[in-house]
Amino acid sequence: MTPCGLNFPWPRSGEAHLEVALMAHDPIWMAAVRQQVTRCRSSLQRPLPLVHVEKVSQLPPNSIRIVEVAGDRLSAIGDWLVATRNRHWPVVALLERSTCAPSSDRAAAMKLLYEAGAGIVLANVDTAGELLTLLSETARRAELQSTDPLDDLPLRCWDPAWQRRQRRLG
Amino acid sequence: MGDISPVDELKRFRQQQARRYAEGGTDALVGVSPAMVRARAQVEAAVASGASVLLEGNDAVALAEVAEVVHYRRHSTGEVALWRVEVSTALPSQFSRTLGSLLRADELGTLIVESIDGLQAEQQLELLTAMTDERWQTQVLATLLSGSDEVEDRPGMSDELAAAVSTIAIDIPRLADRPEDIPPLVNWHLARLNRESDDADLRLADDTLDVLMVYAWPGEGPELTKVLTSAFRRATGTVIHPSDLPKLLHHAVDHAAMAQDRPEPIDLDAYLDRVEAALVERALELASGNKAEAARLLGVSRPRLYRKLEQMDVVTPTPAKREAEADVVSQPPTSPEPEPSTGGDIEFLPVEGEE
Repeated sequence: MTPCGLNFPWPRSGEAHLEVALMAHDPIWMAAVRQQVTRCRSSLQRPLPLVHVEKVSQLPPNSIRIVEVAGDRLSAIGDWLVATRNRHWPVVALLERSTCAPSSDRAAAMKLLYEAGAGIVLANVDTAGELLTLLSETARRAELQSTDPLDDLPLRCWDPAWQRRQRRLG
Repeated sequence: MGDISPVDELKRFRQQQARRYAEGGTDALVGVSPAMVRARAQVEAAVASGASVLLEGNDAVALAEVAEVVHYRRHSTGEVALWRVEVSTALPSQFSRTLGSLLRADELGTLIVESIDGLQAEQQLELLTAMTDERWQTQVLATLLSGSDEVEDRPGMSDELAAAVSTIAIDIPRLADRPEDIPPLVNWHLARLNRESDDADLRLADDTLDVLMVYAWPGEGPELTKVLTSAFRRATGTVIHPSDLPKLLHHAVDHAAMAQDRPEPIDLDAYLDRVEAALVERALELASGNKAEAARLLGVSRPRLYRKLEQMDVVTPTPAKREAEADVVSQPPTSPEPEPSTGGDIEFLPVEGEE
């Protein structure tokens, strides 16, 4: 996120490769995600790679993970969310369009995914705009984090008390 | 599996979580220290009363798990909804939407607000207003990372909100402040790892536990889990030896052995050399290995960059230069070498009358 240069701060390892990873098979959802990522990329004017994976287990943990959830995979995805949740990178769940048709089923599926730890759950393609907000917001936060000049000293192993104190003061 | 409706799946998921968070199902509350004994008692009080809880500590994962323990122990049948807002990653609109849903639902529920001090002032007011609404039937479990109030971009929590959410306060101290909890935590993880590995029977050597006790665990519980999991995989026999632990922990033991009461000095020259080396490496990386470009980025001449690279052992001196240096070494010096005590690189002018 930080422009390349010698001045501090240097980009952190995760932030330099902020990327979106998608596990979906529905072409409509795939197109909707690609559209939102492209819009986010042009508004940020920075690279934001979008990678596609076949299985949930292939989703890289240090990325914004987007996963399409079929009705019969709810339980498995719920367990995966509980096991892999982290507090830096939100997970976006997309409800498969052909399943969870009755509204009560859709509401229950969304509730399960939220309770398991999904950042946002999108039930239909019309709400894909929320994805753009989430991507922009996450990128903005990543950029804000990179402006902490003392957190990016080249020798991170050396972290004396006075430095920690100063970092807290901003 | 396909025959189960999402409504039933949801209930089953909640019951499964309730089982997971039943007594002994998580490491978040394992320990024998007075702080953990008190924390467990407070959790029981929160489960029994349904009062709002403020959880404070250094480990975000453990705090969230304790909040879930309270919810799932209180509502183990899977009928009651859990709402969760992670303030650090949630969209600004998400918080208002969640509060609206909770008020509209008009039923029992639990709201976990992670990093509550990250809420903006208007969101804090919104939460306070919702909590005083007569339709509100939700137990609020808020988490607060210790020391986060000193971070500049955090709005902090208003006194009114702090009073409203801290009917019960649960404090989870750092692992470094409760070393007596490390053995039970290690046992808990070993039992889990053995169970997950087809009932294996690995145990820890005594000196391995000593190493684990000395380390300060800046990464808290998740770091302990990671270290034990990797040691478990590396162990070849039925005993986990100190050599199966990462080098970092051994360095910590060495450091502890050399620890003194007064602050440890640093070697300024060595430190600056390392900063210089890091900048040179970074410049070379940015210049894709082009030394002329790297020299331009660093604002130094190319020969000086080469000298620096030679010092860093990144390049070897050219044969011509090596021969020249060898000649210098073989010939008797034309001028005496400056004594180290006279100031190293500093050139001294002759003192008047010395000639």
